[in-house]
Order: sequence, then structure tokens, then C-alpha cells
Amino acid sequence: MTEDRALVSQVLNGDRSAFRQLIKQNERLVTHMISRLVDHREDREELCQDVFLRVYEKLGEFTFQSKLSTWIATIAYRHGVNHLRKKKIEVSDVNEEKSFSTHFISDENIEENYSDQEMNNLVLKWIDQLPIHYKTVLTLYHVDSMNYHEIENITGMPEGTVKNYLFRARQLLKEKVKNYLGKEEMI
Amino acid sequence: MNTSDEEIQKKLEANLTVGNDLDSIAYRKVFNAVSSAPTFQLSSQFADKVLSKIEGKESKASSSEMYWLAAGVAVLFLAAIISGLLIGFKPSFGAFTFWASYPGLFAFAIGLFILIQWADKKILKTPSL
Repeated sequence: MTEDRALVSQVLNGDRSAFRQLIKQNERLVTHMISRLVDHREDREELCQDVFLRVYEKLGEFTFQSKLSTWIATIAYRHGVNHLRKKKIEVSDVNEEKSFSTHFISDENIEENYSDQEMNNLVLKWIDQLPIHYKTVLTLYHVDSMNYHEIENITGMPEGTVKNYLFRARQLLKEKVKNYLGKEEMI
Repeated sequence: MNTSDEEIQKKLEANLTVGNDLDSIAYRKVFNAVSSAPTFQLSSQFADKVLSKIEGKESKASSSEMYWLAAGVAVLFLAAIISGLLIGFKPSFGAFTFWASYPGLFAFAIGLFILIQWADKKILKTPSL
């Protein structure tokens, strides 16, 4: 937190190299968030740039109520969701969970035996097919090592919902993997 | 929540061993994969691009400020001219006509002012080594 304060103060005093350092420290987090939310690779870098422009503009309003990284992730999340809304992509698609689950878990044409690495890639591909809130929670928790409270701050979802989405996302992926493993055993 | 699923998830989060049933095996594969970061990477000049965008925005904002200042001054002059015409204002130098009777004193004042400015620049503000 002290480091955050020093860095923010340097940026607010017009130190460009301090802002460069801020970008370097947080670009992975912003990239994870944007690339999980936005499918189009062409839009991703542009959106990441916009996130940091917004961070630069709003840094004076940062009150140190949370970690700087949490605040930046919040901006990235909202920016990503706004982008999806502008593109008329459904964001709150967890409501129709039952039909989604059935469709998601249903058989896929998998004919080969996969190595562990290939299975990882397959699971990552399935993560991309999950509802936006599920994959956001999964990424923040597992990739960026955020706790429930931090995820609550970033997404605005209650902690109970965060826990539930995390559980359901992992369960759906498990069913998908199980479905595949069962099929592999039969081959 | 399904108890069995919940238990397996909790055990895997705590890095504990789980069974060899299909559910546990599938969960192990999921937990192995979910920690992998998305493959997308930003270009190596990403920070430079952001900083140049910020500079571009700031210079645009500063030139727009200059534009509004110039527009404000122009509107002010225009308003002064129109007001002068409407009320039939005639410019008068008033107290300044006093100087016309003392041209020597006027020239001395100007000369003294220039001398003080020169002395200030050359003598007082010379940096000492």
C-alpha cells in the first residue's frame, strides 16, 4: 500500500516513468481481464490501452480504499463489460443457466486422445465458452490470485455470488472433462 | 451445492490429495488448467503507445484551451466595440493628456524604466559561480 501511495504520488506529479512502471506492474492483470471478456483479438490491445488512459485520467480520484491493482482491475472489468454492451453482446447470461449447462456439457466431436498440455488447452477453450461472470471470477481467483473480497470489489457481485459462480464454473468444466474422459474410456 | 463436488473442490484448493474416481480425476484436470493465464500478449511497445496517447491527448487539450482563450478575447473585443457604438462612446485620454505638456518628463520616465530593467537583468540577476 505504501508503494502504491509513492507510485501514485509520483504519477500525479507528472512523472512519466512512474506511470510506465505502473503500466508494467499491472498490464498482465488488465490483459487477463480483457482477454477473458473480449473474444476479438484485434480489439483487445486497444481496450487495454483505453483502460490505462482511464487509469491516468482518474488516478487523482483514487482514495486508497483498496489496493491499486484491485482498483485498476475494476476499471478494466467495467471497461470490458461496457465494450460488450456496446457490441450488444449478452453480459448477464447466467440467468438461463439450466439451458446453458445442458448445451455446454453436451457431447463434442472429440476423436483423439489428448496429452495433459492438450487437455489444458481444451479446458482453456471451454473456459472461453462459459458465461462472462463465470470466466471473470475464475480468472481473477485462479490466474490473478485475488480473494473473494477483492473479486467482490472488482465485479460488484456479492461475495456469496462470487463463491457460487466459482463453484458452478469449476463444476461445469468438470462435467465437460468427465464427459470427455468417459468417452475416451469407451474408445 | 453438491457435497461431493464441494469437498473435492475444497481439497484441491488446499492442495490435498483426492480419490481416483472419475469426478476427482476430472476436477484435477480442471484445476491444472484454470491457473493458466490467457495466451494473449500485448505488444512490446505497449507502455510507449499508452504514453504517446496521453501526450497526444494533453497537447490536444492544451491547444483547445488556447482556442477558447482566443475566442473569449475576440468575443470581449467585439462586445466592447458593439457597446461603444450603441452608447455613442468617444474615447478620451483623460488624465493622460497631462503628458503632452511635459514631453521631456515622459521621455525621462521611459528611459529610467528601461535603465532599471537593464540593470536588473545585467547586474542583479547574473548568476554567481
